[in-house]
Amino acid sequence: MNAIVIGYGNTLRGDDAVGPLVAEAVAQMSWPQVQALAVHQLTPELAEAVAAADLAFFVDATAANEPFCARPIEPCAESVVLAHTGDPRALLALAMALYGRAPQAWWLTISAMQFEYGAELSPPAREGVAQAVGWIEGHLPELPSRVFFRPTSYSVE
Amino acid sequence: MPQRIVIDPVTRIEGHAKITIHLDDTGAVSEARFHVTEFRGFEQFCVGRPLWEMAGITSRICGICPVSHLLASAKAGDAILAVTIPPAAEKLRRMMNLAQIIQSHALSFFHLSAPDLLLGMESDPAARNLFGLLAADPELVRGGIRLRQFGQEVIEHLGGRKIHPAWAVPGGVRAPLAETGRAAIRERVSEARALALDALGRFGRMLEQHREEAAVFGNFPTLFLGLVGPDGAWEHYDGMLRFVDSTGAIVADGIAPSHYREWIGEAVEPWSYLKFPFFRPHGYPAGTYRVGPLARLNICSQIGTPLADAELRTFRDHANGAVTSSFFYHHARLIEILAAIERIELLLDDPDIASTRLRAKAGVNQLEGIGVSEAPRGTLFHHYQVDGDGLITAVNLLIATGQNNLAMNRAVAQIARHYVRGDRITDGMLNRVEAGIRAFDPCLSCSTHVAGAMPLEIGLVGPDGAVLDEVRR
Repeated sequence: MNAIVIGYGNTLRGDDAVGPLVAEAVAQMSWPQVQALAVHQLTPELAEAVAAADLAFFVDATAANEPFCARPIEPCAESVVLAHTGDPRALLALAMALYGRAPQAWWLTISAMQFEYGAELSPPAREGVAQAVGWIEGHLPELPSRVFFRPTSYSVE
Repeated sequence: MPQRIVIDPVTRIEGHAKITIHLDDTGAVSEARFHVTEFRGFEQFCVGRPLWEMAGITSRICGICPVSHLLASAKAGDAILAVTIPPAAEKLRRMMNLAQIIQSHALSFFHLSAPDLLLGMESDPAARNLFGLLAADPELVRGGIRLRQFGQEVIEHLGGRKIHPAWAVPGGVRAPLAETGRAAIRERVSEARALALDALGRFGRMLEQHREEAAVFGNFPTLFLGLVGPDGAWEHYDGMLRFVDSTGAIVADGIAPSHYREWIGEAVEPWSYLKFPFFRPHGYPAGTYRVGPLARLNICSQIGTPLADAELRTFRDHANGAVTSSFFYHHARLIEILAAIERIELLLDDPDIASTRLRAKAGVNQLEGIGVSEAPRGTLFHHYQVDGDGLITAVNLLIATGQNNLAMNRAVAQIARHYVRGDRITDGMLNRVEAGIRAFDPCLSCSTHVAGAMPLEIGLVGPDGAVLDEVRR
């Protein structure tokens, strides 16, 4: 079984960076059969990589005042598929439509409080990054060796 | 009673904006405006940064056109170092810019605008999207995705990452193109070329259904600006600035990009955070000009590759002088995809690109530098001032979408006046107003970014500011 982690957001806009930071943290783990992509936004060509995975994790910031949340999602062709507000459910639907398959998928949202240029992550966002990486690790199939994630310093230049 | 219609935000564009349409007492459109509503603070954010970080930082402004900022920034850095970069570095930068043009134009045409063009402006809004398009013409959607993948793979072979490759630096580039990458790109060129030609054929066939839109989608005389090569040929990376008017006559030519401020003024309006650049000799707002694919094809003498030049001749049949309808940005975009593919193929055969001499190293030799290149959406200026240690003291970014701002506002008004009548507002009317903006492919990611939902909101507002009616979709 292979998995894909897609973290999306703008790394220059404070807490909006949490998705890419989670993806980069996952990439550093070098977990076998886990691909991690840090992208600015969801775009149609990602459907191919999504369709090739058995398990997908999408990680985004949310301006809603809620704690870290992970929820299962299904393909939904009625969602926005492109640009700033690309919805991972639409990307799953696109994968299904184009390539005939979509993976089991989770949408992880991390509470984001500020979106100023270049500011460091807020404490809740920093905590959310660590939670998300830990949550992903806990939901991957059995890994040969576990290296537990420890949050270091997350900041945006 | 005068009324105001608000489209907020505009959908299927990169970023957030809204449109207001004011109706007079008779129900006719009296005024329409395209607003950018989020504050733009990027220039201030850069102050105090080391020059050498700027390419990496500015390439993170935008997820759709990171390469454009990367290259303009690196070129501003070249000017501050006062160096001529090695030939291989210039050619590799050119290749990356061409790839960027392909992937960005593919997103605009195939995925943002094709639903309007193929399914129809009046088609069911619930299906007027990528999935509706997929049901109607799956090969078109697949073709768009393959072209985007091609462009992004070229960028990845050069820069190592699909987004924000901090690969171009002041003085050159960090890494060569590996032979394996060169071979992989070459392998995909013929498919990409076939896809571009197929899309051009489709555009020609669908044009007949959109004659009315072509006539009123931002169809008015303006100037056009872009870079041209030494012989006036289509240019995307370097060269001199040229302005032509709507008859096709050259108004100003041979302008060194470093002199842009002598020719381009920047106005502001209280109702938008986006600047309003204008051609200084004609004043504001008479000096309206357009940039981007439409402008580049209007100002050039030829493209310089056989297939694209053949398409350029077809493009020029749209008008006697310059092609003035913004609807034909779509056509110009497809021709530029083809041109970029042909140019990449030529670069792959160029022995220079195998050189490992890629970077001129120097310290700060000038306290000011201006870098200009053609982003997919138009001419992009990065203007930096530094202190003796190379720390940024001032930044001015003149982005393509800003330069089209005056024309976009005129386009919105023209389309609204043609299609919007009284208080019976239909989806088809408003979609045409939005589609007129989409033709410019505005990228507000450069100046703004907001995470969150993006519904279309339409409000009817009376003269006292009260909302009379509101629709969301």
